[in-house]
Amino acid sequence: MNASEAFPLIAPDARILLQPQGCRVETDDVALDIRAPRDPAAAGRALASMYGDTSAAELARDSGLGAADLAAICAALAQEAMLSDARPHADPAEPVDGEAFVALCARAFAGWKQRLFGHPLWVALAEGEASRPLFLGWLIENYHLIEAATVRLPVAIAACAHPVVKRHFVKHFREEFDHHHFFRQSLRAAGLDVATVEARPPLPGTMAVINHMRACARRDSLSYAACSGFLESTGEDHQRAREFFRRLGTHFDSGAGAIVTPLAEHAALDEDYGHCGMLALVVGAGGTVTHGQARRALADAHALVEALELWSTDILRHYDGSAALSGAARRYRPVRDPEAVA
Amino acid sequence: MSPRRESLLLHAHSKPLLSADAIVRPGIGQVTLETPDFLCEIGGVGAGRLARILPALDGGRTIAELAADEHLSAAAMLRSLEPLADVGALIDIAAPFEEIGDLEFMDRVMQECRLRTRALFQQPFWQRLSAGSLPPPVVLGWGIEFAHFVESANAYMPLGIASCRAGAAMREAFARHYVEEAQHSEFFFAGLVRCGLRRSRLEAAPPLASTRALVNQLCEFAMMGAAPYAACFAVMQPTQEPADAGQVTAFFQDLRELYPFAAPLFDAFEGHAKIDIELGHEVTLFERLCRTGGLDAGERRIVLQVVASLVESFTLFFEGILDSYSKPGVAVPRRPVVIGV
Repeated sequence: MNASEAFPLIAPDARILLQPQGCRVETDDVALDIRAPRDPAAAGRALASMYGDTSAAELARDSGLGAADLAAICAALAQEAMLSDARPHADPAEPVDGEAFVALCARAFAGWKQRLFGHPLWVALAEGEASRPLFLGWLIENYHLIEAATVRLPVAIAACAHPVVKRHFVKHFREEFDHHHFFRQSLRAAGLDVATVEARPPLPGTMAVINHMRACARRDSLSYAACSGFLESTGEDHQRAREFFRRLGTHFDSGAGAIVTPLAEHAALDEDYGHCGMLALVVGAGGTVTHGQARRALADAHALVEALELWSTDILRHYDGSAALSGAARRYRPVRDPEAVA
Repeated sequence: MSPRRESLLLHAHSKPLLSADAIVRPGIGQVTLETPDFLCEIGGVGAGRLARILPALDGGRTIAELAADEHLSAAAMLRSLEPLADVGALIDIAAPFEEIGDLEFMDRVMQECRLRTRALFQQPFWQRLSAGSLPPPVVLGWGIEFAHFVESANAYMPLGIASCRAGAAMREAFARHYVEEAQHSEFFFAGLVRCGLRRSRLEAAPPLASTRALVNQLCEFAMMGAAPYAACFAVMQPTQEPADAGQVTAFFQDLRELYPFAAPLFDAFEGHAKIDIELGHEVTLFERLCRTGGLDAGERRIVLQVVASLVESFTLFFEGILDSYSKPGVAVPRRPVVIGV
């Protein structure tokens, strides 16, 4: 493939900072300094235009950077997995190789998981820096999220047009619909009243995750399976999950594991069921997957990751103080902005 | 100010919820309660007590319980709190809603909408916007996310119409409202283009997760039926009075002066606001539904849940704009997500 024919697209969450000798392109995980001493402004123009809608040849010409310098920048970005080629596929209806699609998802999910679990909420939980109310809030919202299998999977089943895929969804639901009881045990062990927890609606961040999956389920079985695959894949790295629960137990569970053990048992049960292989089953059973469907499914899974980050931030902001757990009614934000004018 | 209906008066079993934007300032023998809209001096039971009681008015406990904690009579507590309810700084979230008439219920809901939405404008986003301290990406990002939100009328409003079982006349009212709104996102996209952004990139930009959350929540409420769907508009248009066109002009003129680079976007906001005034959208579908009558107790309970929930979704919407577009070097508009397949 000729590199000048590519349509460079910088990672959606990357930020571009102009510097005296070039530019810095950074995400929350990676920072790449690009030196372009001859014309830093041209490099900035080229980077700012990498929206995946312009060929590399046009970018080089329009920015004034030159093809060789642009190619070097693209290579450096690609090396850090910050660049993709968004060239429109000649025929979006053309089938993709199912196994290759599943493998691509697995690679993408691994990076996205790393990003999600680098969120300050998850770091604070793993490091034991979270307050007790924050830990309990995380537990409460997890309960709501797991219980919501009963409002998302049935939508996927009902909307699914393919009989074999539908059966896989039904099997998944049969195995999953009552898993919130694990979390109920944990809530009780943590001293929370389950009836009170259930009477209070989930945070809007929790609803964001649930509603996104419901929307995907209505739209396309593959999109739902990709989202589900991302959620289940979080348990695929079993060793890491076990280590996370061990740390939670150390930091937050003084009752001989009464709070955390049910959570670990839930993860182990999902592992036994092989739920992490759900996406492959759906792709294998569902017949042809087109380029257009595959791109949309991956974009929907990425949107789920963003929703999960929003969820994490919402939990962090709402529960990081004992007030969130007291009182019968929720006092949600806003709080006054300390930087605002008096 | 018209007197409150009897069902909205406080009593010993009321569960008072104080507006989240209220600031309590203790004084000598009384406290001052301040919001951007009013300033109220309250006495009667002692400044120290009031300074303790007022911030705890979260809708979770009755006046009788609160009074007992302070060794007060409920009547004394009521005398101190009634002036706050009179100015709309406090509502009773336990006020009866099953047995009252439809119009009385409508008043109760609209009062709650006004109280809850007033707090939205105390968010950091609005504070910094009016102070002129938002960086350009946040201002343009607001325009982009708002354009997505307005465009989402083509997602949740058709669902609301199709899910309406309140009769042909109500469905027609829903439909009429929708067709008036269906193409309004064009104002904002055109305004953003005049600010120098490329149209194709605006359309390809994925909404923020917080914007998607709001839109998906609206879709969910729309699919729940006529009452929850109509209640969304009570939250979005809580005043029940037409906006003052002069005030609209002045507001956006201030913003043009603070953020001249975004003047075409503010033209779009202003134009859209004035069209809504002309269309009489302050008379919400919720009001029409209530005037038609027949909301049962179950529907009323859900309406109250929708109001509280949707205000939280709007809180998240504005937080998301400030969080995401404040990051140095952020792409405006957002880049699409395309993973090579």
